Amino acid sequence: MIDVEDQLAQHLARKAAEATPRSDLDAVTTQPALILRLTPTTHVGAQRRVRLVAVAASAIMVATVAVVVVRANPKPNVTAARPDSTCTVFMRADASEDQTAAIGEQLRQRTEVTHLYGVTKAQAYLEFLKLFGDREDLARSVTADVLPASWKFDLAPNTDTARAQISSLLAPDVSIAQARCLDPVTGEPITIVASRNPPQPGSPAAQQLADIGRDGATSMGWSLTLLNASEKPAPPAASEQTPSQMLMAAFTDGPRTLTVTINVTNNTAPDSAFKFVHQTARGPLYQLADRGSFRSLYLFGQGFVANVTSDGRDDQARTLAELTEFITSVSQRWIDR
Amino acid sequence: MKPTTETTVEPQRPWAAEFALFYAHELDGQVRRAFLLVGSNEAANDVVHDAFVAVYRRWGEIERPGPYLNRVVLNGCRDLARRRRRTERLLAVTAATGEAAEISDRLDDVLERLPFNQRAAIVLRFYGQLSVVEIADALDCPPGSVGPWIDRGLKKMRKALS
Repeated sequence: MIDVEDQLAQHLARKAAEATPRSDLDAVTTQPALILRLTPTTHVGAQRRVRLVAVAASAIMVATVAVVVVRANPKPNVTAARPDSTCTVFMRADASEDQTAAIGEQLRQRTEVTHLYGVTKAQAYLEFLKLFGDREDLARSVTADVLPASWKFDLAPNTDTARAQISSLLAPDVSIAQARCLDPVTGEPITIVASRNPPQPGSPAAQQLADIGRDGATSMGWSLTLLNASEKPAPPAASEQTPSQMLMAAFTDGPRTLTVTINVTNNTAPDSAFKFVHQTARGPLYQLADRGSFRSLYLFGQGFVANVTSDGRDDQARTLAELTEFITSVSQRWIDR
Repeated sequence: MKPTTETTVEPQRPWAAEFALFYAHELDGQVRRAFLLVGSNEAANDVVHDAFVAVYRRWGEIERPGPYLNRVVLNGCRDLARRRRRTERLLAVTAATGEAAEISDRLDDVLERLPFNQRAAIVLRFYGQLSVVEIADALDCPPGSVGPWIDRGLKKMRKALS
């Protein structure tokens, strides 16, 4: 006789197989305060309220970001504006006039893009004032230069590869925008992250790490573009007496990103959160104990801890052996610098 | 009119890649476990989504995101079960337990009627393969409580199948 525990385990496995997990990382990692999960409704009042909330949230968010005043004019065609456009490409607040125009031109040339029209920063501000002009607190906190220009459009129906098409026209090495669309097939909201921060000079130390990372990647045969390099104080550790420094450099080869960090610290003893992997010439290698399957490794060197994290699709992911070689090489270059 | 959602560009986060890996690693198992607890695909995905948002917001502060996520997902499932139970009481719903019911139907019925902690402990043990300590961590209770919950749940199942 089969025990109830076996029956139960089989039953749960069968039943769990009926679940269909929906992956939507973008919805999780996009600024939570700005995510509005809406359900279809024909109630005009409700839609208007939702629109007000969306604009207010965007305005407040954008107001916190330091920006460059942009004179960009994406050839507005306000008369053709469709208030219910299903897709919006927001330019980054610091996008140049040429970048804004270039994106508009690329969108204009796509046959699957219809009802395209541009909203300048000035128009966005006017719209904001129309909606919130009577709210003194909001109106005071937002100025004309902080609202982003955008392109609004619809995607032609039956464009089942819309995501890839729109994504492909926003090249990863051009810092521009993020699009938010409704999938023309399913009607579900989709996010197309087309933005890539331009290479940032960062501090001299961060730039040095970026150079070391690029050299290390080249020696591995990887062709990477620098996304960002930065330096910030590391969070204080309970057992640490001396302040430490955290350097970060992020790279991409298109579908994958690679992040390298160096934590300059005298306290290099791993705690129980880490799981030993093996000893390398540059120091012991660890993974976080409860994230064993991650493509993320920590090398505890003399006076520093180096971390490398790689992401991408499973079939393209870098192996732990590759990452081990990479982090060892970066650590060596870091010591030799 | 179609629904629409708009947002602005988010700042670059140095740990975004690590979170993306964590998300990819955890999503499938968490949704399937939540599905076993709430019985609805839609609700399970929503609960897990909200839990990931909570984890993402605290990513830099959490030392062990895996167990933390387990706990947030279970709390979400528990809240949902509570709300449902209240509705069911109002509607005076009675479980159908026909004589011809299949074994799996009977297991479903028993599982559904178990108190949440017993049901969660059983799902985490027999589907999630979590240890007693891990289950206690996820349910935020002493490890000593887990064994009796599982035993009581199994007892009811044996009775239902006999």
